[in-house]
Amino acid sequence: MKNESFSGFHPVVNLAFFVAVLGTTMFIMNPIYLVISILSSCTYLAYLKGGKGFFQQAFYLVPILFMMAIINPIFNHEGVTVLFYLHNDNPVTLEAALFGIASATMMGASIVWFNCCNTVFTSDKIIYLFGRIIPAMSLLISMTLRFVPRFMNYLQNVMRVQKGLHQPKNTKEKLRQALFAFSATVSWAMEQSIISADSMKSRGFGSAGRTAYSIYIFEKRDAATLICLTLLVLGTVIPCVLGYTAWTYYPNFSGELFGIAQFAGYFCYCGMCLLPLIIDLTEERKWNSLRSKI
Amino acid sequence: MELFKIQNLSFTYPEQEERVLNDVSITLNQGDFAVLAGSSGCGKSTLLRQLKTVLAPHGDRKGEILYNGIPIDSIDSKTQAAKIGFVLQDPDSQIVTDKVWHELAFGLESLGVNNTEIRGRVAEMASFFGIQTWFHMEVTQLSGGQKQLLNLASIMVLQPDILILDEPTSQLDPIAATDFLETIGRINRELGTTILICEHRLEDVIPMANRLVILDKGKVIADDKPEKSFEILRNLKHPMLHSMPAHMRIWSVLDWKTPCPLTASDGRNALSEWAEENELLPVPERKGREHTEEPRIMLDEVWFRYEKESPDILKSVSLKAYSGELFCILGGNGTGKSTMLSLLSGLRKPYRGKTKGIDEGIAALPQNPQMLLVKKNLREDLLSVFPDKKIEEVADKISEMVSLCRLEGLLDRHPYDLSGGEQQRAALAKVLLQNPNVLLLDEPTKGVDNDFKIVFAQILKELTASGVCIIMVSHDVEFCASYADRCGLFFDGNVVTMDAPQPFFAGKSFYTTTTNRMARHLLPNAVTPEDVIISCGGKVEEQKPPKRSGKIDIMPPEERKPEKLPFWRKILGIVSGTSAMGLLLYATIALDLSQLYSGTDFIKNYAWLYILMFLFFGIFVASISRKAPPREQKLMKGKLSKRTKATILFSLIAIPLTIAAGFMIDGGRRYMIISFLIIFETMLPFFLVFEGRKPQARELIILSVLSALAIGGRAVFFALPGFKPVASMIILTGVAFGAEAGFMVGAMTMFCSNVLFGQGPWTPWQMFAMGVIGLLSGILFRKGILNRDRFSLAVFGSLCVMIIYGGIMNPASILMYYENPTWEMILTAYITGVPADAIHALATFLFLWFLSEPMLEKLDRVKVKYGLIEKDSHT
Repeated sequence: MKNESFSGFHPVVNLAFFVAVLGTTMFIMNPIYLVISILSSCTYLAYLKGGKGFFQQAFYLVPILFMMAIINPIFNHEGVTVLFYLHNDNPVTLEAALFGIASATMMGASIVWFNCCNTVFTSDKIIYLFGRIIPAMSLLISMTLRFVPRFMNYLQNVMRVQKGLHQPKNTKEKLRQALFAFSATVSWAMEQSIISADSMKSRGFGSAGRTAYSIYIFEKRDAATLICLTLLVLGTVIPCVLGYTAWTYYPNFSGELFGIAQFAGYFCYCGMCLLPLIIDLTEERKWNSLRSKI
Repeated sequence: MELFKIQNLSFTYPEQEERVLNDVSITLNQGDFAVLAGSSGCGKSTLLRQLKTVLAPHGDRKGEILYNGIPIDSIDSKTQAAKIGFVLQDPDSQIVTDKVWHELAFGLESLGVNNTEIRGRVAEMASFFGIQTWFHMEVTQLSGGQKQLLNLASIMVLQPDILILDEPTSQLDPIAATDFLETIGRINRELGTTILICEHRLEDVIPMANRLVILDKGKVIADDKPEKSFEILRNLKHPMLHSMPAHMRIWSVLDWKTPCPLTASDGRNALSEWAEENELLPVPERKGREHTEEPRIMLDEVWFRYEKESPDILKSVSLKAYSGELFCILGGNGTGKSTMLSLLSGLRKPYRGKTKGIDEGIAALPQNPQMLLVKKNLREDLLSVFPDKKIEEVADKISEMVSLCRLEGLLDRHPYDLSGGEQQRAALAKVLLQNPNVLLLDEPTKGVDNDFKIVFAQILKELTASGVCIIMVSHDVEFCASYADRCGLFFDGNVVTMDAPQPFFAGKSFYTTTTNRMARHLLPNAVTPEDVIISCGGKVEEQKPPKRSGKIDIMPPEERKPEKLPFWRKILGIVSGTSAMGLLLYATIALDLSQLYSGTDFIKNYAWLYILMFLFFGIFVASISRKAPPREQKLMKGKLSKRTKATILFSLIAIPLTIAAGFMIDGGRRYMIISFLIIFETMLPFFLVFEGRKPQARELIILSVLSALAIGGRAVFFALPGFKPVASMIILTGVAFGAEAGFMVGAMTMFCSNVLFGQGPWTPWQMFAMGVIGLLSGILFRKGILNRDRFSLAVFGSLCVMIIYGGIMNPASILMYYENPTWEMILTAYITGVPADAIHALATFLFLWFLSEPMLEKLDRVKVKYGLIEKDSHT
C-alpha cells in the first residue's frame, strides 16, 4: 500500500468520512449525487490500489451490477412510459429500467466505498473506536484477529506434516487428512487458549476500571478536517432535506435536477467525496516543493 | 530486605495422594537472582505458580507464602498483577492481542492506568528492550525470540518487584535464548528487579545467579550460592548431576578440590591446575565407520528456491546418508535446514540436481509432536494409523511400538496430558507405525530435559541397530556429540563439513561442545564429558535408560453400543430422506427460472415444493435421531438463563415496533433502513449484556479461539468452494457453551472474517444470520430438542444453513438495494440462491457428520478441565 496521508489521520476522522459517504450514497437516490458518488469512489479506489488493484476489485462487480439493473424492470411494472411488453404481457417501463440502473449504481458505489474503507480503516482503528464504547467486544475482535493467522499457520503445518507422512491418493484420503488437520488444530488451540488466559490474568485482566490505550493522537489538523467535513456534509444534506434534490422515479420522473440550490449541493458533495484525495494531493505537492527546495 | 518468604509450603493436587511440594521453605531477598533447578516433574512449575494467586493451581495447600511480610492471598489482584511479573514457557500463546504496541499496553490497560502514563511507560520499556523498530508490527511477523522479548517487556512495563520465569527459553533457538537470558541479567543488574527463574540452560544463567535452589521430589535439597549448592549435590552423589553443564559434571566426578567452576573458562583453569600436578591419559578415540555400501538416501548437487524470483535456499547440497546410522545436521537458524528436510521427505522438489531414495519409506517427525496427536487417548491415536483395519490385526505391531517408545501405562491418557518428552515419543511411535526405513527428525530435543534425552537416544540406538537411517536436524550440540554417528554443518545453503562427532567438533571453536571448549588446550580431541573424565583417570558412570518391557495389551475397554432403531423408524427415515433429497434435486435442476417473472402463479405452483421438502427433512430427522445417552441427557436439560430470556424478549418487542414505526413514517418504502434497524436491535442486547457482565479472561479467550477456528477452518477446505466449516463450528459452540456463546461466536466470526476479507453492507446480515444459528442450536440443545449425536447435529446444521442462512442472506441482497421490492423479487433471490445454499448445507452436513463427536469431546475437555463457563449457565 502506498503512503497515503488520509490514513494517517485520526480514526475518528476516517470513520466520519466513511459514514458520511456511505450514508449519503445509500440514502440519496438523486441521479447526479449517485454519479458523483460512483465516480469519486472509483477514483479514490484507483488512487489507493493503483490501476491493477482497481481492476481486480472492480472486475467482479460488473456482472452483478448488470444483473441488478435488469432484475428491476422485469419484476417492477410501475411507471408510465412503457418500452415494450414481456411475453406474459407485463410491461417493461423506462422508469423501472432507470430505477434499476440507479439501484445498481448505488450498490456499486457503496461496495467501492467499502473497498476503500477496508484499505484505510484497518483493524487497529476498528478496535480503537470500539474500545471506547464496548471494550470487551473490541478486545474480542483483537484477540480473534491475533489467533486467525496463528491457527492458519498451524493448520498448514499439520497438513504439510500429514502429506509428508502419507501422500493422499484419492479424495477420501484428502478429506480425511483435511479433517484430521482441522481436528488437530482445534485440540491444540483449545489447550493453548488456557495459557493465553493465564497470561491475561497474570497481567491483571479482570480488575475493575480497565482503560483503553491507543497510539492515536487527535491533532489540530484532525479537528480542522472534521470541521471541514461537517460543513461539506451540511452543504450536501441541507438541499436534500429542503427537498431541492428530491427525485422520484415512479410513476414518472419528477424533480428539478438543475438549479442554484442543487448545484450548491452537488459542489459540496464533490468536495466531500474527494476530500481524502484533495488532502493527499496537497500534501504530495507540499512534499515535492519541499524536496525541490533542498 | 525479604521480598518473598515461603514457609513450610506443601501442596497436593486434587484427587492425588502424593505431595507435589513437601515442606518447602525459601526466602528471596530484594535484588536476588535465584535459579530453581530440578528434574522434570519435581514440582518446579507448581512452586512458581504458587507465588501468584491467579496462576496457582487448584489443590490442597499448607504453609505460608509472605510477600513483603503479608500473606499472598490477602494481597489484591491489582497489586499482584503489577508487582509480581510472570513469564511462561511458550512465547506464542502468551501474546493475546494482534499488535506489538497493544500487547505492551495490555497490562497497564487492565490496571486502569491512564493514556498519558501508558504512553510514557510503554515508550521507556520499548527503548530499554530495543523494540522501537518493531513497535508497529503485527505480532505474527515476529520471530520466536522477539515474541518472548515482547512478553518480557509487556510485563516489565508494569514495573514489577520480582520477575518469575518458568523455562522461558525452552522454545527458542540457542542464539535467541542466550540473548533473552542476557536481557534478564541486565534487568537484574540495571533495574534491580528480583529474578526467580527455572531454566534448563544452567550454563547461561548460573554465572549471573547468586542463588541456586535445587528441588527434588518436591523438597528443597540445596539453597545456597551456586558453587555451594553444587557441592551439596556432589556430596549427595545426586543423579541430577548428569543434567548439569559439562564442566560441573567433570568437576564433580573427578572430585577436584577447587571450587565448582561456574563457566567453561573456570573449568579450563581448573583442568589446567589439575593437569599441572597429574598426568593426562590419551582421549579414547572413536572413529567413524567407513561406508562402502550404497547410501540409503542421497542428494547430489541439489538446488532449491521457493519462488522463481526468490533467492536460492539450497545451493548445490550433496549429502549421503546410510542405513543404520544417525546423521546429525547442525547449523544456525533460518539457513534452510528445515527446507532440506522437506526435500528429503519428498514434499518439495529441487529445480536442479539429483536425488535418490526419497520415493518411499520415509517418515518425518514434526518439530511439534502435538501436530500428530488428535484423539482422546493415546491408544486411539495409535490405532488411527490404520483406519481400515481391525484392532486384532495390528495389535502386535502397535504393542511392539509401544514398548520400543516406552509408552507403557500411557495408553489411556489424553495426549495433551503427557509431558513434552512423552508426547515426542508418542508422535514417534505413530510415525514409526508406518514402517519407515528413513526417519527425519527436526530438533527432537528442543525443550526436553536430560532424562528424556537419554531415553530418546536409547530409542534411536535401537532403531539404527535395526537398520533405520536417521537424519536429524538439531541445535543440541551436546546431544549430537554424544550420540551421532556422523555430523554435518549446514551453512549458506550447503552442508559444509561432514565427519564423525569427534573429529567434527574437535576442529571447531564455536560449533562445539562445552567440554571441548573447556579442554581443547590440553585435550584437543575431547568432545564429551566422558572423554575428559577418562583421560583424567576417572570412572564413567552411565545413566541407564529404562528397559523395554515385553508384550503389552493394547485392547481398549469394552464400549457400550447404541441401541438399534426400530424397523418402522428406519423405513420412515429412508422414505422421507429420499423424498426430501429428490425434491431438492428437482427444485434445483428442473425448475425453470424464466417462469419466475410470470407473476403470482409461481408461488402457487412452486412454494409447496419447498414447504414439502423441509417437511420431509423434518420427518427424516425425527424418525432417525437417537436419544442421547442418559449421562448427557442430564447435563443438557436445564433452563435458559434469565439474561438470554430477557434479550430474546427485548428483540421480540423491538422488532415489530420498528416495523410499525417504519410504515408509519415512510409508508414502509424504506425497507433497507427498517431491516438494518431490526438487525441492530436484535444484536445489540446480546452485545450489551456481554459487555455488562464483564466477561472473564477464559471466556473471552474461548470465544475468540472458536471464532478464529471457524475463520481459519476455511483454509483447510479451500480446494472445495462453498465448503466452509463456519456454520458447523458455530452450531457446536452453541451446543457446548450455550446459546449466548453461540450467538457471540456466530456474530464475531462473520465480523472478523469480514475484517480480513472485506466489509460490506452485508456484514450485519451475516452477523445476524450466523448469530441466530448459534443461538438456536444453544436453545434447542438446552431444551432437549436437539440431540448430541452426530446425525441430528448434521441434519440440523444443514437445515439451519438452508433455512436460516439462505433465508436471511438471499432476500437481504434485495432488501439492501431496492426501494420497493416485491415478493417475487425476494422469492427469486431465495430460489436462485438454493443451489449455492445446498452445497453449503451439504458441506455442513459432512463436516458435522465427521467432526461433531471429536469436536464436542474436545470442547467438553476444556470445559471440564478448566471450568471455563460460569456456573449459572449450567444450572
